[in-house]
Amino acid sequence: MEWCEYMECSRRLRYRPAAPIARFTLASVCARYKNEAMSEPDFDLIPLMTDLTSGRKFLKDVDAPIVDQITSRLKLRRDQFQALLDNNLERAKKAPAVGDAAPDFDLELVDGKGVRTGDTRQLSACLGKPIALIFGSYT
Amino acid sequence: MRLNQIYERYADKVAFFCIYIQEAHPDDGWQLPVNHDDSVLYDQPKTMDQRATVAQACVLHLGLAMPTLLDDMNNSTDVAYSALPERLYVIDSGGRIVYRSDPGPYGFDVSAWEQSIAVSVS
Repeated sequence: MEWCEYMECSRRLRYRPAAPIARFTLASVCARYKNEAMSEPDFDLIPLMTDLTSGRKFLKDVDAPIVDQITSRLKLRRDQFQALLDNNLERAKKAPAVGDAAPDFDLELVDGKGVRTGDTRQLSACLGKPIALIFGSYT
Repeated sequence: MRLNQIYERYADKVAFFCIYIQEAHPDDGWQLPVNHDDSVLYDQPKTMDQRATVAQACVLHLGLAMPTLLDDMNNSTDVAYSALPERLYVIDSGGRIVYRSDPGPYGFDVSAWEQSIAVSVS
């Protein structure tokens, strides 16, 4: 999820920061993550990666040098990356769509210090007002 | 953190939950350099206690303010929502989905999510 925060920063900067203040912000973000894999040129790849992982574009239609750049950054072989995208798309097909009934859940709550409580929260019991969900993990 | 800002802005009108699901990049799976750099090194949990341990590290490190729920070890809710690695949803008061992000991290569009939240309370 930390990675997502970085993505959000990059998206808000519209991928190619032109203004000095935006470049400064971007540099801060990159420095925070201390990872050359997130250097500025890679920001150009974010729209493409968004399309690939959401199935709007396919790897076979991407120029080989670009694919090499992506797989190198991700530490994956091309076939591994293709398998990952295929798996993503299979999963995405099963995602409930806008207009569908939200699948119910009844899951254990952790407290503000991240400690298990034994209490649960059920989606269907919270209806009556909008519900906003974030799914993710630390890694 | 932007997620906390949105939570604090709408918490009186919207129920927020962070649902902690299986690890996207565990140390015994597809690990990424960024996790090595930040020492975020955890194997894929095999028990609820193990999942809770990583979730706790996440909650404390990121300072997540909203209620956090643990998905079960069958990954039932993750599967039901096709959530892995990350995804955002907004559900209306009647239980219908009104917003679904693309899969993360590239589709993790917090701005679009917030806009949907704003519409849902307007």
